[in-house]
Amino acid sequence: MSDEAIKRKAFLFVDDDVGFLTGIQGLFSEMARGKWDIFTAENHAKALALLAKLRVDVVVLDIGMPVLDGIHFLQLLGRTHPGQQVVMLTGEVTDERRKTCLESGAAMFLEKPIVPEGFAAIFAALDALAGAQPQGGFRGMMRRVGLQEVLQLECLGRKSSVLEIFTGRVRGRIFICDGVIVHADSGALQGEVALYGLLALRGGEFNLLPFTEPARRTIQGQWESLLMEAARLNDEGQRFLQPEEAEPGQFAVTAGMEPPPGEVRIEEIVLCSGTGEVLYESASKSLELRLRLLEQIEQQADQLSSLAPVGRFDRVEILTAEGRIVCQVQPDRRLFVRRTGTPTAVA
Amino acid sequence: MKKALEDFLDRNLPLPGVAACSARLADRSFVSRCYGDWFTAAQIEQALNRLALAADSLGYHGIQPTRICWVFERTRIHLALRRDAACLAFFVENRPGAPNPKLQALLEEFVAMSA
Repeated sequence: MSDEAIKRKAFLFVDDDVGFLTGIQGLFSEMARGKWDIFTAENHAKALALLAKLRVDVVVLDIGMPVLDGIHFLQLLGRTHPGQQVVMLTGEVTDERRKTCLESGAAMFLEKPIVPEGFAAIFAALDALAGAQPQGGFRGMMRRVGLQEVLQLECLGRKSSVLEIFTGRVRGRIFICDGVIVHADSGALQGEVALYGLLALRGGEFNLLPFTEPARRTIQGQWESLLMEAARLNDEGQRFLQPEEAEPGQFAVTAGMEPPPGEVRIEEIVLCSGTGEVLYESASKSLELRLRLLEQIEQQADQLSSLAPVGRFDRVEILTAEGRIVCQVQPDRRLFVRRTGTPTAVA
Repeated sequence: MKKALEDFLDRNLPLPGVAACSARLADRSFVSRCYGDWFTAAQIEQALNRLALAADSLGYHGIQPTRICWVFERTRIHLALRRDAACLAFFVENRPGAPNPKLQALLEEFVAMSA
């Protein structure tokens, strides 16, 4: 294989405007002087068929396409071809579209040029993006790999990287510097709470990016201890789903009342230490409100204990029209779990 | 409703494991029954007042309860709330084999009882 062949960059342009595809293929082929392979597709089906046969450095997507628009195709590519560089190229630029595309994994969001100089700028940007891809190492997909395994590999190898994690609802990053986990963020959360939340995710996608220094380092301690704590919290989280009746001190959401029939789904979890430090949260609408509720319940339970010989408080289970809530207050932890399910007859 | 409630309780209780029960009606009067010497009527009525207040306070958190179960080391307190502000609590031994389905059925019957 010649050096010339190695240096060729491959692009796939997807646009329902055949005239645009023909024009850009001719123009960019001329500008690339033989260093680009340009493929085109008029719809997502043809694009997927091409991607099944060949690897391209960058996919350039139009947004306004029939059947499956560019944004949804971008999201689909994120699942079918994780790690594929995708650039959005559209004639209708809005801030909302830009935000959606970038949040969905697009590397760039570009406006379709209307003057020749604009095409030169697009060409330069695409050429730089394709050239910036790391040449060393393997590239591919790993299925059913856990984030813990990825983190272990990075830490054991004393690597520096940013592990970017995303699901339909959650987007977060874990920063590793010289094999030490130094920071994590996920939405508004930072530090160990964010780390534990990300490590509790059941599935999703990740990218390993070159290390960049976070605005603030929020995590200290041995990575082994952090991963063990995450595993412990995750195990405790799994117990929320156990249907059998729990004894005081155990986690359970069904004890004391029959579970509602039909689908049951955990909607919200807040777990904090006995001192109120949040250790884990999932989909909490208002952390502050939930922490206040747990405090309030602790006080009310204390009052009840002082009125009658009922013993030490364990938890309160609340049935509502929407589902069930469990608030558990233990000396070393406080837990709030909200789940929805088909209402029972009394609701 | 008081007479109907007294009949209802006397017809269905005592049950194994149920140490006491207390109902607070919309007019704030109580109907209480204690089985054994674990609880006194005064204790469970004070406790029921607290339980009703606690149930009300959940509204500040956007929670509208229909039934609540407080689990303590020795006791489970099952509470049902009616739309007319009446409520009923069973004070039950926290041990395996407590008559949970029967209690749930009684709580449902109490909620459905006509005023």
